[in-house]
Amino acid sequence: MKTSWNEIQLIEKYLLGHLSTDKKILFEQRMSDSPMLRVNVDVQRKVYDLLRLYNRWKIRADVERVHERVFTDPAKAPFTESILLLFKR
Amino acid sequence: MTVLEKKAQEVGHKPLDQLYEETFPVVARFVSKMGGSFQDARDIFHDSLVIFLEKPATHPVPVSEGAYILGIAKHLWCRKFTSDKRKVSFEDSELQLSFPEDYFPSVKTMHLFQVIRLTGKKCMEILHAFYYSHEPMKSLARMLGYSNAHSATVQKHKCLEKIRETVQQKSMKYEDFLE
Repeated sequence: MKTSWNEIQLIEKYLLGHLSTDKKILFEQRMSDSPMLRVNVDVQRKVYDLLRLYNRWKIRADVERVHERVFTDPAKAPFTESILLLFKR
Repeated sequence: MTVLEKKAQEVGHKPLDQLYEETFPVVARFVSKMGGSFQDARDIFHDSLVIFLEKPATHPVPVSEGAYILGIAKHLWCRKFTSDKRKVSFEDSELQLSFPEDYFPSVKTMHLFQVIRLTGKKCMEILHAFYYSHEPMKSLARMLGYSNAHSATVQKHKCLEKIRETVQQKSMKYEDFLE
């Protein structure tokens, strides 16, 4: 069943902690009465979880790029050698 | 501007390459001392750096950048190679640190992530911009190629619905996505 946009917005406010205490209590009461709403909240929570993973994935790609840049720059050779030397046994 | 460069700008970091060059040797020395390889050092350092960089600017780390990254690296080392923390010398301040609980997601969550990343790339980019760029609405709309804030917001709504639907469909297939 399609969830209304108003409900999506309300769930977002709940999950991101943007509801006042009164509204939060009301919303949680509604959740305890409605299995469908609980499922919708769980699904939307998963979307924000995935977005956090997506953000992390993008940061990691940036870090890898910095690594490649540093480790292929001839001017940085003394730096990279000093690191590699730590692992020569 | 990359996410990393933007983050650096937000929290007033040093230039990124400088942060990398200053903190990698510290982690590499630790990993070398523990008997790890260059690849181990690189992996653990990159994870520590990602964990540092993803912290919101509103929640600054309680110690210096270098101390934080090394502390996280020690925790990651313990998780990866030894469950006995006594084998690693932790400073008191390092014991207070921890990496995010969801940093190592389940296989099923990673599978869902890969599906969404590949099939919903455009929407994920739009939603990522909304939730993580912290740009004012006007410049966010411009950045995403929309003529005004309203069009960008409509698109955000559509994307949130689309990704929700995908998650719901997939979770019917793999029930424990919503664990």
